[in-house]
Amino acid sequence: MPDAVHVSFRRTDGIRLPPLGVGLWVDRLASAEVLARQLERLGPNHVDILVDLRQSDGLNRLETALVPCGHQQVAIWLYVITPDEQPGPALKQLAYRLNGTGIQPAGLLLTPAAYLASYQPNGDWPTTVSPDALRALGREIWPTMRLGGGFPTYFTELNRCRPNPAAIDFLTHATSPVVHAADDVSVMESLESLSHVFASARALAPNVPYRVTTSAIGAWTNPYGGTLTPNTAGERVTLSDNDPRQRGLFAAAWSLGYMARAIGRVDSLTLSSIDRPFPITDTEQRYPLFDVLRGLAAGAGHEALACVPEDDTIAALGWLATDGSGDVWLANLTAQARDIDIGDAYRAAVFDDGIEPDDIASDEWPLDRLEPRSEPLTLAPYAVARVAVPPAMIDGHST
Amino acid sequence: MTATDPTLIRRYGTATPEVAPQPLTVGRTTLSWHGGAIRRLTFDGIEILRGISMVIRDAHWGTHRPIIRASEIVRTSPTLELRHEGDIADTHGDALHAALHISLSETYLDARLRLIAARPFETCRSGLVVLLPLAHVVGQRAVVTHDDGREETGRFAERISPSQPFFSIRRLRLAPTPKLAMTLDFHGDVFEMEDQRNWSDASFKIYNRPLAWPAPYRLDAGECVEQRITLTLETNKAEASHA
Repeated sequence: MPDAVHVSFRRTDGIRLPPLGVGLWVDRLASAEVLARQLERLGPNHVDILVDLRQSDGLNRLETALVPCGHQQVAIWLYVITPDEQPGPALKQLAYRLNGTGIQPAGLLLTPAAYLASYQPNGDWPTTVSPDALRALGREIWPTMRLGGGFPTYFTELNRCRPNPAAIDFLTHATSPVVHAADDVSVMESLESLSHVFASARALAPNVPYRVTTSAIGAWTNPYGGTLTPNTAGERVTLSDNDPRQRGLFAAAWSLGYMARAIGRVDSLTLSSIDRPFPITDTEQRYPLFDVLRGLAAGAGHEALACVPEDDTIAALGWLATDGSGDVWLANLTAQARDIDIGDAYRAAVFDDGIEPDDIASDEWPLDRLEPRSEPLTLAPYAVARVAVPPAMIDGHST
Repeated sequence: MTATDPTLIRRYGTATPEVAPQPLTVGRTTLSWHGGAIRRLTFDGIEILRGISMVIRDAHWGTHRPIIRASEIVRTSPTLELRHEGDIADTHGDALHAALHISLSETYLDARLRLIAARPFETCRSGLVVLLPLAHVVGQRAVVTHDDGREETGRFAERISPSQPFFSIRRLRLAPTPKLAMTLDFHGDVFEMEDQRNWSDASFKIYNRPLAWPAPYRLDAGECVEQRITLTLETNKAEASHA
């Protein structure tokens, strides 16, 4: 095994952990009961709901999804796909139904269906209603609502069709690492590009909140070729919504790496979804990703710690807990075991491939069981760990 | 250590493992040979290329998976020689034969691709792809020699470009560090570059056949395509051109 990786910890003062939420596709949600149960156990800071108004039962399904969200008092961000022809009546119906539920979304993104496809910068763009024009229509219906600019698809689409920054209340897009390559190494390498993506997006609208909406290893739609890659066998393929790694530690480690890059760079982050296309449980078991998202969502609003590993094989993030210690989360982003040097007295919990998946209804949370340690921490391939770092090891701690 | 099925499933959600990368060293140059592609080529620990590989697309931009006939390290000295050959089959049998040969010394890489169509073959793009890493590249000056011989000096932008940063690349020169210059030469087609950070890939991609050309296109029966990319590294000469 290579030498132990040293990780250093420093206070950041002004930087807070962004809220972390999950996505929800109303047409793929099994039931309101599933949603209610998962929201309660996961504790997301918000839910990004995607509804396609071209689907005849879209509004009914939306209502079904909103009720449990209302009971949990979780913030709702609505990502709405509209018909390209005459979107006005569809928006008015949406407004009417929303009023009926008594639930006010925190914000709305309106996307004309033609803009789910990608266009070359100098190519032929749709002649139907544009996102800017659709938002203007939305303003007439929702004069006080936050209306966003951007896309529910990938950064590329935002970069090629930039909203007027003065006309939007938030900026948003998603990412997927499997557009061009789906092997394990490429997917983890994609984390390296995120700081570039976040800085480039932020520069398009520096004065409004920047939300990265539902992102996962898979792709929920293919803006470049119309259809997703058929993948019933669950292989590692590009542009698929059935990536096998979603179920494994791999996705937990990747998501932790994503949050590590997002801290200080985005105002809000949404990873994976309740039910398809990026589920965090199956009907029987929680995926490791569930436990990581639950843990990181609890950190929202706390002062972030700068957690700097010596090399990029390890992802690290953390925040200052109320007792002055660091609540630090680590992930091994490689297929080789790594030792982490954290000093000689700390507490830690490890989630690796030696741990049986937990039952969907279980109240066992492996990452909540921290135990005293004194040796370097060994992380198996794609293992995730949670560490309570003593205050004395944090640079800038109050003495 | 061999991982057992339940272990693999807990890691990857599938018991199917990937081919493990094979680390190789040629003097001060290291690389990983991974499924017929070169990845992470470094010199003195500085990453020079994120990858170099052959990519055969179908008529809908899907990526063919060739049936591999040979994939091997032919020899490791005095130069490293790598060979990766395969066939793309359709319902009538083999349609395209692809052979990639790579030769590498400490400061020189030569990648040659030969494609031979057994029958008319529809493709959106078939050829060699080079990936440049982000570290030591973003923000650097790039000198591009175009196919018409014209020279253009540009930069790898900090902000992600929505359109291709460089077109018609015959030669690309940049200096990853003040002490190291690299030159890439492209032969056999028109090459251009995409800022792949748009899709959260950690690379700039240089690929054959401009996106603006019609796709798919057809390779006729018996047609032979030959492409070649070379990489030349020079140390201690780059002080002046580094920006």
